[in-house]
Amino acid sequence: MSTLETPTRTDLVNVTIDGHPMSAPKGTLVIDLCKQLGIDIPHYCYHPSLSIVASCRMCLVEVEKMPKLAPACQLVVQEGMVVRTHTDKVEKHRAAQMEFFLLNHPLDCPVCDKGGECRLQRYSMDYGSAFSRFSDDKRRYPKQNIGPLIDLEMNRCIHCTRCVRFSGEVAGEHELYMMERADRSYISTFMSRPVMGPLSGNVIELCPVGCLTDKVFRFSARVWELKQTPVSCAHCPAGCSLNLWSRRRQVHRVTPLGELEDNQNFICNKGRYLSNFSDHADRVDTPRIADASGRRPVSVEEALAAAAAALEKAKREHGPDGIAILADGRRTCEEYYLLSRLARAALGTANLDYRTELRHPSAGAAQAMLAARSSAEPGRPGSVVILGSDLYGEAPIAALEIKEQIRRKGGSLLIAHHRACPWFYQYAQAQLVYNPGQAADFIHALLKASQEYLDDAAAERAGLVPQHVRDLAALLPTLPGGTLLVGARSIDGPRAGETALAVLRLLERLKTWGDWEMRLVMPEANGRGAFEAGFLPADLSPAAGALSAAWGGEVNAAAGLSSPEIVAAALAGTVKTLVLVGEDCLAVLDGPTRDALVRKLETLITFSSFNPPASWPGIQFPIATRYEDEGATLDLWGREVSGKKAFDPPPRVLPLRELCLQLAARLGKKWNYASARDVTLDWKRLRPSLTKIGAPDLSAGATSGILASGELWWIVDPHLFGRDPLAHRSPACDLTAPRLKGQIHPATARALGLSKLGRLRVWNDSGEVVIPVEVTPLAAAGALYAPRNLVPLHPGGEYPARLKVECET
Amino acid sequence: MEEVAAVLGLSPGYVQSVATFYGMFHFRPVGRHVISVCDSISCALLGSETLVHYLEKKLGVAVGETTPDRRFTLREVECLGACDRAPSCSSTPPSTTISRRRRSTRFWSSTGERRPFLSTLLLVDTGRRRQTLVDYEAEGLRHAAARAGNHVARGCHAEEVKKSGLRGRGGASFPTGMKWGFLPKDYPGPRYLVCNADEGEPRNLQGPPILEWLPHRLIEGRHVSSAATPSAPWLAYIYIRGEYYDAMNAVNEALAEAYRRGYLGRSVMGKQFACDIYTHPGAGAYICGEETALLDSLEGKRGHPRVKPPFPAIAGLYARPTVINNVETLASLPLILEKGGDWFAAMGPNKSKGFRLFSVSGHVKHPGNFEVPLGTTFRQLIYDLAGGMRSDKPLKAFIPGGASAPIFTPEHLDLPLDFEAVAEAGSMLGSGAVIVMEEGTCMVWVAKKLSRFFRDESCGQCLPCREGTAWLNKILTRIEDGRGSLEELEILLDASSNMTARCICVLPDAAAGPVQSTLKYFRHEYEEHLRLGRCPFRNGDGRSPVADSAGKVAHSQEDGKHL
Ligand SMILES: Cc1cc2nc3c(=O)[nH]c(=O)nc-3n(C[C@H](O)[C@H](O)[C@H](O)COP(=O)(O)O)c2cc1C
Ligand code: SF4
Ligand code: SF4
Ligand code: SF4
Ligand code: SF4
Ligand code: FES
Repeated sequence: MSTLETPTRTDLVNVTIDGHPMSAPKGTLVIDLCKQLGIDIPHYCYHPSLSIVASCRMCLVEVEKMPKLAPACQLVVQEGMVVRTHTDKVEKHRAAQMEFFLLNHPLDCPVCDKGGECRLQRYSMDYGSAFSRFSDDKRRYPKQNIGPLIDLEMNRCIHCTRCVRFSGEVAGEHELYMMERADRSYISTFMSRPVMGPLSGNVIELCPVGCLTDKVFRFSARVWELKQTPVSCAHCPAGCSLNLWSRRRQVHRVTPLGELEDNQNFICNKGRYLSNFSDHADRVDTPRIADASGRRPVSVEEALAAAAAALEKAKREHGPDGIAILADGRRTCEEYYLLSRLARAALGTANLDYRTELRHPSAGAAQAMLAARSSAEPGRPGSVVILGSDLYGEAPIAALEIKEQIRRKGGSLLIAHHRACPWFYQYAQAQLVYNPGQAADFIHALLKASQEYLDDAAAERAGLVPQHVRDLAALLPTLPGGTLLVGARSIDGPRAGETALAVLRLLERLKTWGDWEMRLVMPEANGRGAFEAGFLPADLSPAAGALSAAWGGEVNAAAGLSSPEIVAAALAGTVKTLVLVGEDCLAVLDGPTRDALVRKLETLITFSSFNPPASWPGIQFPIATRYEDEGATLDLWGREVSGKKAFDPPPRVLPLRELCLQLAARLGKKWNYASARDVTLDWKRLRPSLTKIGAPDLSAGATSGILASGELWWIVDPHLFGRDPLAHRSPACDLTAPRLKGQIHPATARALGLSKLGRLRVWNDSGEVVIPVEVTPLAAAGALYAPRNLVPLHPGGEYPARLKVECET
Repeated sequence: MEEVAAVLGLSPGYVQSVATFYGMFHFRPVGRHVISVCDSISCALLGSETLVHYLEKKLGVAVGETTPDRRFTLREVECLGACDRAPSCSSTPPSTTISRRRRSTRFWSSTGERRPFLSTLLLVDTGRRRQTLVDYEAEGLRHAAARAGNHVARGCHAEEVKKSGLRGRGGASFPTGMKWGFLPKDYPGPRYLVCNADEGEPRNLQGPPILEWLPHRLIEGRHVSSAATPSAPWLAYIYIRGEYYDAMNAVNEALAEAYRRGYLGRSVMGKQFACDIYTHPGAGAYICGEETALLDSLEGKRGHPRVKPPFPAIAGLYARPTVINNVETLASLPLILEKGGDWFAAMGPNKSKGFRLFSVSGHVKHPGNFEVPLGTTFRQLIYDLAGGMRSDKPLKAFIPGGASAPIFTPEHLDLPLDFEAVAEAGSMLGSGAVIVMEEGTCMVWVAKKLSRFFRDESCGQCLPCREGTAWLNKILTRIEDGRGSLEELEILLDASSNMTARCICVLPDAAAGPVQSTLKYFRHEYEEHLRLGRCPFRNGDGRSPVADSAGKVAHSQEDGKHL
């Protein structure tokens, strides 16, 4: 008698499956139990992530004492139940089912993208008969177009409604529906509008047949010709595991890693459609040195020698503090680790940062402190309070995970942010929208209210109805515990330190009420990894001993300059040597400022997969992309996601890891890494020390300024599907991109004389643009939401930034 | 639809999905008058196909189309509840061109003359008009409401109903007392009673008369059932088929009367007992007669039968305990209480107790509703009450219990109206709609007609039902046309048995019944079709094989009275 793992005997019931007596936990579905036993019950409509409809009738089994065959996907084990899955009656039913399934099915497997992965194909081999008794015309649906991402071939549909249930129940995007009834019924969207939901692509794997297929991937290759590689997504902090299907350097298709039915992995459309950037025409395939006389290709050795010489010279002439390293947020943990070691041990500089979106000098230390106080274990179930982040927009799969966890295990979801997220309205118990930049006031009011002091002035400063804050304060102590998710983007601007301290006070208070932990939602895809690899200008003096023991020799463990400070220092001429790793490290600057900064430098060294702007001087190294090297990343919950190498970089292009080692060697540092694995092990050994940072001085900064007339707060949070350097080099970029518009609150719009839709002229010191805006109550009053990819101006150091606006007629 | 979605806070796709499920929503502008011709079996037997052809010719549009001047839209629908005047068609909204005498819907009868409809309804003579509350009180049956407030009486109500042996009149014939017994005891939250007046089964006519003429019986019955089941707040819904405008109006009027008199409302008859009743119209989907589909429909969803368990008694409407009973079941209750369970049980044989309404339609002299004690034979019902066959052609076959029931032949005429006896003979009393067919009716055509009904009305969830009903219809249509092969008869049998006993609800079983039974008794007709390559009953002009009275339809209307 085999027993499945369960805590107590009383929770078990005894059942017999195909003659084997066994016990199973109460509430187990027969189909799941059979799967665990290795008995394959054919099924279509059942999926562990979706509600049970038991409508395809494929999974029927024989149960003793039941007059009819019963659906295994709906049947819950009962004491004494005797189930048979392979009787004549069952087999006959399956054959009959296959006949019904194939009645109207086109059976165009040779041209069907699902070929080889299709459940219909599989089961018809197992159970179907070779010839069809159907002699009438097959049902034909007119071809529908449901947008550029997903192809709908209704003639192949078996009406299992998995897609409908996913779109509604799981994704919460409510796009796909079953229309009509009976045999006329068909899958569609409202008036055949395009399916654009960020999570919608998952229906491609969920569809058990070839009805919904990947329109971007379509026909480009047969699945068995492609190599599959597990990688981690380079696009957002959710850090999903992807299965990359590639041939040569082309990514032909991206799916979630793992058999979908086992671990319920889903991915968003950005990971799915925008991971094919490695083969872009912009790839640099040779190191180059650019100076006044032009840009010339050189050998790797030559470039390395030049870089080492420049760095040595800079160190000698201006001291190590004149050198700074900025890396983008998509590096692997190993790369960040080697860069930290390069900076702190080989170059002796602590000016290193990955948070290229930071704007205010005080924000770096504030965020680092919150990162250090974040929980280190993988996420725990319970309630979730999201503060200062639109998680669905920043990391859709993380939002989905949270919402699904709450749906399954219970708990509350509470949200406070300076922008409402309509998606969360479906799930959040409360969603408060405070004035941009006033998170600290909100927390202050909340804490006061929870002590029964009523500080309604603070609530009003935050633009909130005091009663809402009081309600929230009354609710929080009743929750048993959970996670406080803090959006790092909100910890910026002159009040960054004050806000960070307020968050910590809130966390302390929460801990007195229940079992709470905190996590920081960093905007960078592998921000957590960078933090845990020490790639930030934090005060590492608590770990100085450990670091110099491990790295040998002198280590600069002091605090250094954060990214806005580095930018300012470079513009001021105190940082003279800048190393840029990855893409878009200076994206926060507008074009002219960026060019001025570059011109001011003595030496610029870039490591990048794509061409830097043609006018940039310096030593330019091409590097492998994320999918051309192995390496680990950390997801939002601190879980490690390891990525393998999917394909080789172009010839003469080395992984960053390799270049770091060679550069260190030329700087006279002998690092003993025999393989990539050694780097990983070394990083993991030091990881606990690297996260122990000294407490920075966060004495509260200035209060945020007052808006002058004709000014609005500018919320610059980028849109996930806006352009970023990797996404916009994927061919499908334009297909997934929503048409971006600014958003403005009706009251603010009225004051500006703007109707429902319109155009605004916006400007600040760095320039002026005209943008389309929509008027929506989702925006906070007095603020304009306008993603950076819409308004390419320099936001300055304030958080939120300011813009002058004027209605454009 | 987008606006509806915005107002209701739903996604527009959801609204489209729900709206397209039902038959009564139009997605293109329709004419000022929508002419709906009943296409179900009873009307078809009497020539609705010819009527449709006639209208198509007359209006110059095909079914589903609107005349260019936007005055008329022609539609085929399932059963207008006027099978006694078959073939029937209705026109909405009322128009000057047609007639103003009836308030909202006009039925045309093929012959123009009114036939005696039925003598008694629930053992009273209604005089074919709505019984008002005053009439009702005069009858002395209103004690149930008074007693309902009396908690002590509760148990004995349930006992009384159990004793009476009343079985559901909706089709499944489940003992009503037992059904109530499944409700959880002492459930704290609200619970619901739903009255199933969807009566979508073609030629199922018992519902409308009760609703139209005796609504107070129903209200009273509702009181009884809530009193007979464990205590808790109650809300009741009456789900009335969308096509029955008159019934809806009548019930609403009666409800208003009852509220005014304090028989309904916060405290019924001044007692600590609250009771509210809401009416809800259907929107044109037969499947919403299935109890769980009805609940989904009430909740504003597509009417998909639910997977059971949980049964509605545990988690029904809005996941609360719910009792669903047919109109006739509920309306029988006041009498049972008044006269006692034993009185009721004394009528009828074996396990089939009491009296019941049967509707007889098709080729009989006097189609209509007849109320008889169970145990009466079909022969008595058809020949004595419905006046026998309409012409000298003898009876060829009859359907004993609605479209879902397998067909019977003259040899079954002497069977009693007894649930078990009929089941033993291979059919069921089901909804109590008896459809009579005379010699000369093509059985393949009948099977085709019925298969079309089930194909259209399947909700489409379950594969065997969705594909099976459509497949049967395709084969039958072909065979009726004389195309096909003998092997296909085996396929028909095979496919229909592959549909049964494996779906969420029993609609496919019902759809398989007519095919299996016509093949059983009339296989030679199928073979004849295939041998001749055409329908042996069909006239040369392709007119429907049954309609000789239809010529008259065309005639009476050509006279210019209506159009
Ligand atoms: C396909 C289908 C259609 C049905 N249509 C009706 C109907 O129109 N009216 C009705 O009262 N019951 C109908 N029923 C039966 C109901 O499901 C249910 O048994 C009945 O409402 C219970 O009430 P009762 O116990 O009073 O009979 C239908 C059942 C099925 C499977
Ligand atoms: S859906 Fe499956 S069975 Fe159908 S054509 Fe595609 S691969 Fe073949
Ligand atoms: S499209 Fe695919 S997933 Fe959706 S109902 Fe059809 S077969 Fe199922
Ligand atoms: S949620 Fe983020 S990590 Fe996951 S697939 Fe989308 S972009 Fe990639
Ligand atoms: S059997 Fe047919 S009508 Fe019933 S639920 Fe299934 S598909 Fe719908
Ligand atoms: S998988 Fe069980 S009915 Fe579809």
